[in-house]
Amino acid sequence: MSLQDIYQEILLAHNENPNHFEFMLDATHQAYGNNPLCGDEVTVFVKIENDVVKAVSFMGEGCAICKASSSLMTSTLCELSLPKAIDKTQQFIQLLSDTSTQIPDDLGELEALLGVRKFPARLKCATLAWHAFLKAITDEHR
Amino acid sequence: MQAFNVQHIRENFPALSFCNAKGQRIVYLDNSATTQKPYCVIDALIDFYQRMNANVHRSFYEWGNRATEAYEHTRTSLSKFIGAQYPEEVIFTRGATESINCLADIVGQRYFQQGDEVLVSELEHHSNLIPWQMQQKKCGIQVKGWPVDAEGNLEVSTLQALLTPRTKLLAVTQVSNVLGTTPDLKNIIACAHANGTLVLVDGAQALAHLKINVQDMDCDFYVGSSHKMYGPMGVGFFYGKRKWLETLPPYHGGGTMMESVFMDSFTAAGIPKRFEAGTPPVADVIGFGKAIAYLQQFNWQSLMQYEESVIVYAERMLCAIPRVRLIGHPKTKTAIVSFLVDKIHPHDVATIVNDQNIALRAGHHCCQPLMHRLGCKGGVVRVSLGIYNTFEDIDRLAEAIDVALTVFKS
Ligand SMILES: Cc1ncc(COP(=O)(O)O)c(C=O)c1O
Repeated sequence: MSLQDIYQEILLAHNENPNHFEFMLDATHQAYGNNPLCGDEVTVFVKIENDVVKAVSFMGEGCAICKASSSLMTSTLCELSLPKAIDKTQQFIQLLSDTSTQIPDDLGELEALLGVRKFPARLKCATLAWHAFLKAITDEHR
Repeated sequence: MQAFNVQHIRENFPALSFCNAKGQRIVYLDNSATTQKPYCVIDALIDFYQRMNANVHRSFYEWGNRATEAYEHTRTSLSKFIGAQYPEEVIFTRGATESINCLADIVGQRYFQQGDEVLVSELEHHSNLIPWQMQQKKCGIQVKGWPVDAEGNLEVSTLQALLTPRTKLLAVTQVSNVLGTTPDLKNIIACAHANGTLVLVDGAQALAHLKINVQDMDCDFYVGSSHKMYGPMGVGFFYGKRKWLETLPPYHGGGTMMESVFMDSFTAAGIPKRFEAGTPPVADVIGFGKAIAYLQQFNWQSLMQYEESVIVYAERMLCAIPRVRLIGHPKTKTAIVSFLVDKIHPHDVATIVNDQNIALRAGHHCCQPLMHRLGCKGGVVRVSLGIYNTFEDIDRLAEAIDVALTVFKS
């Protein structure tokens, strides 16, 4: 377990300059997620058209892991069909929470978050936005 | 009285020699969450289970007598330690949280009426806020906040303006678990009493650092936890002035707390038994007694001076690090300092220093209203000292924060 495992360059870059870190005026769905024990909070905005995720953005305050993971999520889920996006989200949460899960080879940049598996205290930070995404698309907010 | 020799003291605490895989010795700076335990406390737990494990107050054999005697001995030592008038004014509970919940319930039942107010300071830990909020529904009272100023002080002048004829109780901490603030309790309590308001003092963070005298302070109720004063987890206490405790109803029903029991009714025992239903954590209470004896061997003046010198050093070292900002600046304080590092979230600071085997806490520290008041919604990083921390510990912390600055260079 070393610091480089968790604070990879790519995560630090996303923390510094997150993707889609903005309010979405024309979101079709949104949800707020927070971790009451540590204070991380994000709001995830989603735009869905014809069962396709057209855009994802987020706002909020959190640690580097939380912010970088949210940022990576917004790009990962974009342009996926809704069922595919749900699948991907659930798989990713499973991958981080259960260290016995086989690591798929199509992770792309998300691979940078695998270090979190060695830091159980940070699991909630890394999955907060992903849980909020699931909440957004199941709650019918407009 | 033992002279204050920190190296000597460190040898009493086996956990402090723990090293990580890189061979770095633990620097334990999370004493507000819980303190480490000296050998005398650990040994007392083992000794109890090996040589006298029996229930208290109800066994007629030798072990039962010894267990009861040792259990009651802790009550006597604790009552002296906090300056209570009578041992019966001290009631054992599972900890400060249970103590406040119990008091909120029984004081509420006895003294609160629809429309009454309870005043709670903004420095309070959630455990000295939520139990009062829960009474809002039960008794129809209203909880009002007593604001802290921008530096984290509680001023008597702002208190005066908040007290009304309906203010039945004031809940206030002796030491803030985030800022270390030590409010001027003597004046605060006098001011509340002048208004006919009862005062509950949360001593959870004070007992290991300050000389306590509940009679001199004149509080009506006082609570604490053993595990924050070098004793075992799972035991704590509340103190109440005898004249109040005698008027209060029991909390839990069960063994020990009753005098006579019939199929349709019971009569409650006197104090302290009235509030101690069921089998208590006897070994832990005895261990708690050892922790008190451990603390009592020191000259408090030297202990307090030593801790003060380390916290002042910590503040100076932290201030000297670029991008570090201390939170709050209370007029009087003890043993605790919180800070932020610019552009590095508190969690990330805690994770990075942990890599150097430094244990400290990041987050809102169970004080969300205070975090909002201080504008620190993402929480803060907290250093909280124990009797065994050294200047070297602080140097290690400063080096570890330098590592954080290089990981997050920007
Ligand atoms: C000021 C204060 N009050 C109460 C508590 C609650 O103590 P316990 O969890 O031991 O019941 C704490 C613990 O952190 C505290 O810091």
